[in-house]
Amino acid sequence: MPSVKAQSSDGEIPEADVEVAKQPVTIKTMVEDLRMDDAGGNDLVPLPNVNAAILKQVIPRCTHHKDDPPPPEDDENKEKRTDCVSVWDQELLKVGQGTLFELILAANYLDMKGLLDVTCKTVANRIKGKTPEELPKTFNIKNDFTEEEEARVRKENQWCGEK
Amino acid sequence: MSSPGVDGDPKPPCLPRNGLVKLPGQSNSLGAASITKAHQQSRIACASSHPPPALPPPSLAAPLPRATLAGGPCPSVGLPLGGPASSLAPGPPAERLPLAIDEKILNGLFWYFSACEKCVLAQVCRAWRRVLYQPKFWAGLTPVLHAKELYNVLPSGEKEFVNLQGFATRGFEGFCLVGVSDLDICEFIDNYALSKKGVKAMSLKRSTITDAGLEVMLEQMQGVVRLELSGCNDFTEAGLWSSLSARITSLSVSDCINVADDAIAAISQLLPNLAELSLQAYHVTDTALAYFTARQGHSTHTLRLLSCWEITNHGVVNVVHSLPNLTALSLSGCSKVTDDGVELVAENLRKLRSLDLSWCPRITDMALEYVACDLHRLEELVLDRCVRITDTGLSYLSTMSSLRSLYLRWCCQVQDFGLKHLLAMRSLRLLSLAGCPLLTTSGLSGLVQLQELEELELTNCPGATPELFKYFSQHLPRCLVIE
Repeated sequence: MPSVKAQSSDGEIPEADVEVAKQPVTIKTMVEDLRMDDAGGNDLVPLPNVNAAILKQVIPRCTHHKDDPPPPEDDENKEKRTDCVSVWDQELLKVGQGTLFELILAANYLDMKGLLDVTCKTVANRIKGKTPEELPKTFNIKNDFTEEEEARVRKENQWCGEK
Repeated sequence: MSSPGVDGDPKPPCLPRNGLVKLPGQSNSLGAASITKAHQQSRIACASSHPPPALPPPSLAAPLPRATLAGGPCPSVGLPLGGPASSLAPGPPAERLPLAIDEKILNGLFWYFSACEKCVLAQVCRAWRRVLYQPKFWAGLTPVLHAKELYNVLPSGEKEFVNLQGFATRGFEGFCLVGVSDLDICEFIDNYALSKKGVKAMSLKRSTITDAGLEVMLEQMQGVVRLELSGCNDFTEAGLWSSLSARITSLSVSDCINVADDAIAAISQLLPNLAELSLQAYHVTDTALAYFTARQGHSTHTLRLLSCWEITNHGVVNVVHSLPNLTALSLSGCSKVTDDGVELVAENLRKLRSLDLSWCPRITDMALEYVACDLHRLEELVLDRCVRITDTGLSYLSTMSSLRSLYLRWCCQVQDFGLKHLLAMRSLRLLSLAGCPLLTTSGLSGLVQLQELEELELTNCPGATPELFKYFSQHLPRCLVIE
């Protein structure tokens, strides 16, 4: 089975079956455009926006899910559910926040809807149930509201729930 | 009629017409009062976060233009985060934003939260609030504001109206105000920047709005085309005559003690563009349902008569003749309606897509035969508390090839045999069997044959055991099963 090499931003070259590698639509298009599938296995697909560590996690997922049907076209501007993450994906995504966010960006760049969906769901599930006091600590963000702003934003968001 | 004011001049304040006096000195500065509610959640912060690995700047090697695929053969349709991360390039090398406030990520991530969850997230930091406060995340939602929440109490003891800018930014098209007076409504109109043109829907619940208040509200809020009045006992039918405007397309009146037949007269005369009418009124009689005009016959597609206890089959005759284009009809709680009334509906309202006969205790299996025979476009059927429905009725329904949603809550005579009839209905996406005591676990397990089912409600079903739910989670994975 012909293989394709992808060159990550930090210069490493993980290898992958061309069929697996074509899952990310970005790569698929590149491969087909440059007619890499019938060339020798020596061409490199450059991925300057994805580093090797992330790429090494993306590739196993492509392999595992290579026979999945394409995800349905979903309505972008609608609330999305956060259940239905397969056990395999849950294991893969037992990583830290930073890596998760990197995976989201990679999935977006590589145009991989399935991966984008499960990574967003995973982050969302980590966020749900936490208070506005806990969340900045969890995600290393600074709560930069002034006291007045904080009182106002709290007041103008009480209308939902807790009634 | 109050003047709208000339651009640039301060607009005259909205004055209630019954002599009440407004609050003095309306400053819009933030009050010092802050409301603290104890948050009960005490989840432990989750696994440690590594500092994100540094992303080096994108290389400028020759293949890069292909790699970014801007407008290339691969359309980046359906990507909430927008195209490839071409704007990831940091400015000065040391200053990289933590990814948790990266707006591209947040714009995609926030779709995975409900409205209430989004209200919590907006309080985390400015970046999250900025992304969250875009109108797209609040489309279709209506804030419910209680009268007390509309005012801040200043240290001096005076009251001032709250700043509603956070609502204007989010572009809410409708508001629900609870427990408000004529005066409160005037204050709302004066203090909410978008009140005059930008608000399309107003709902008032348990409020003391009077005829004069109703008149002022609809006159001032020129954008309102959807109106709901619930539990408001201080306005009369005269108020409807003087305030209803032809621009209104949707009206809902429930539990307002002064509403009876003359209200329908006013509605029929003044609202030629009425598309949707919802009425819960104990005193409305059959004759009023003949008041609808030809204009409404053309425009009205949804009619809900809720707990209109005086309505009989004669009233149904009037409805089917005056509103022949209905696509949705509810007779929920119209307890005098019988199978004959349903026959009239089935024969005459062939365009119906939704029919609600819940809480009509006289409805029997015969009604379902009429429905199945004539209403070929029906997609939704509600039969909650129709206690005389049996398995025979369900056998009639099994022929309905368009039916997507079927509600059989508390249809206490339904048994496993009746369920079998439903198993062939490939079109079903939503089924509720809540409170049906005779269904057994093995009977319910047959529902796995409905592989396209998206929602199944089994609350208060003694036959719905934990084992059954486990079975469903394995064999009906795409279905939301409600316990």
